[in-house]
Amino acid sequence: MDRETDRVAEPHQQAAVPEAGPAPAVELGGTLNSGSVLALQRSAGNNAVGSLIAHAGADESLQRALARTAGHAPPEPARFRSPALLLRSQLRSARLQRVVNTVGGEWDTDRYDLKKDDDGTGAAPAAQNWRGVDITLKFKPTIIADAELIGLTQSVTSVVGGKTNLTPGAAARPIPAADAKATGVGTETDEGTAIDQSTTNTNPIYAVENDSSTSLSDASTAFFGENGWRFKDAKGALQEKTASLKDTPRRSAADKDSRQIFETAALATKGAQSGMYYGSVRWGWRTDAAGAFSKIDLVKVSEGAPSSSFLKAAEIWNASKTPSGNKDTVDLPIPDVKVVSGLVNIKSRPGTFPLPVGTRIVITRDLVPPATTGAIKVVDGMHHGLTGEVDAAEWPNIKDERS
Amino acid sequence: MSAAERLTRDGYAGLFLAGDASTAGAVYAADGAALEDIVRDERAGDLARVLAAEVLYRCGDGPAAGADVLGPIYARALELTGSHALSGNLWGALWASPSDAGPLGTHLLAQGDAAVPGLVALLSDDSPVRYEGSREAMVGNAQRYRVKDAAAFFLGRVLGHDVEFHDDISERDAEIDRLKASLDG
Repeated sequence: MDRETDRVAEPHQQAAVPEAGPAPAVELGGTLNSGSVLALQRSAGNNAVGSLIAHAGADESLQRALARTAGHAPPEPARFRSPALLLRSQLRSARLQRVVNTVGGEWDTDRYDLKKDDDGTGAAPAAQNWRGVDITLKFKPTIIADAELIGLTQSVTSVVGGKTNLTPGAAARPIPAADAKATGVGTETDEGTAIDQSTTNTNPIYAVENDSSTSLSDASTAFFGENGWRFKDAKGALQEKTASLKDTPRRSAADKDSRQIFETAALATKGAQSGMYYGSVRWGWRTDAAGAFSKIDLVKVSEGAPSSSFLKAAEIWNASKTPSGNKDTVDLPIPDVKVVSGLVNIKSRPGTFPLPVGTRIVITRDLVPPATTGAIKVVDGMHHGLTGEVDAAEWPNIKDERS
Repeated sequence: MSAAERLTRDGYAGLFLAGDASTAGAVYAADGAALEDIVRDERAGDLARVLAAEVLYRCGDGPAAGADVLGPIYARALELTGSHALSGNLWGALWASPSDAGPLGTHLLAQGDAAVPGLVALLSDDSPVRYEGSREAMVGNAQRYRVKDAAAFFLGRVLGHDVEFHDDISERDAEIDRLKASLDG
């Protein structure tokens, strides 16, 4: 699909925290070649190819080709298309737009339907104004992924009648107003955003139902979805399974100025890449001031580390106890994501690239004098996975994401 | 605006579930003494009375009124849940998560035997108990609870009776009939 069609439709929340876990292990048969790159390009899209630049060794022609494919080179001028071709292309895009690619896999839905005057059990009185969606969200890990378990975890932002309106579970762990950041949609902020889990469950993985869980890798319950995986077993055979999440979010009195917005992230919870995020997507629904009820398109939020809103909610989740039972929660990985706020050139093996303002990175080696450079790794966007050095003069242009 | 009017205007969500904009603290600071009067005032309306009691539990040491007053109020709150004046989430997920009675269920159970007559009166109430949210709603709504199911659950807890849950509605009704018979005996 066109990589531009799965970009964030609603500007995504930026904030601060570091990516845990090792760098993606590229499993392409040991060496990079045109066939293996093509395989990755087909499975994960052009942008994901950028993560291979660091693996290109001394082959400068391969480095250049990878950079070109990943979009590090100027795009070619647009070609003329006849109206018929254009229409065909648009129809194809409309059909495929539901699929979203992030660095670690492919997101899709089996169902994603608006529900009006339906409380989740069936028809409800119209006067109660129930609104919501039914969704089965799937994450198919692709070539970058190497994990024996992959869980889906999500944050939720709930507003009813223009006001934050939490469930008892979320009320125990929301982003407070003082820490809230603008989402980029009108005057909306991420106030009230919380990890979505029941009041008794200690595990943040959505499909795990366990009030005494102590590990992210605990078993899932099919009613809520399933964990996935992608790894090679002891005999070298590839084992793959798509992760899924089933949800029927609903709010009453939600006929106007209301919304439930979710960010779902795929997280390796066991195996070689345990602790690594494979990207995140946004979905949900909203009603406007006039009562128009609409589904939020499934869109990519992050190529890798989830948004700052998700990570802030995760930070609060980690520090919280269950509102019922007062039990410790199982911690989510929280990368200390920084953001590029000015001129930053990353000196990488294939060359030196200027990082766009807003690029999300983690510091892998701090700048400590007398050293003249520090080291970073890009954790989101078109340069995801790229590592390299940054000069001291440009180091002040790396800021906390939620500052 | 009177304190009772403010309670019913804000509702449980406005008082407790609006994050930093929750108004319970402000209501308590402005009308703490009036809240005690509302709890005791039978003319104040069931919703205002239970919300006043909830504010006193959350922001103070709890209502001064005894279980003879609070027991019937919390049973009426369960009845109000059938018309969704209050959300099912406030009673926990019942059999699906017995350790969590939610804020209203916890306070109902605290009234002990004083809540029993009011709960018995609800054993014929077929109104649905609806849950809001995402993950919490998935758990609660999956059971298709009715007010009478919740009444039976809490009666079982108060009286120490073993009230089993059944997926099948007719079996669930039969279980409630057995509970009624045991109470009549």
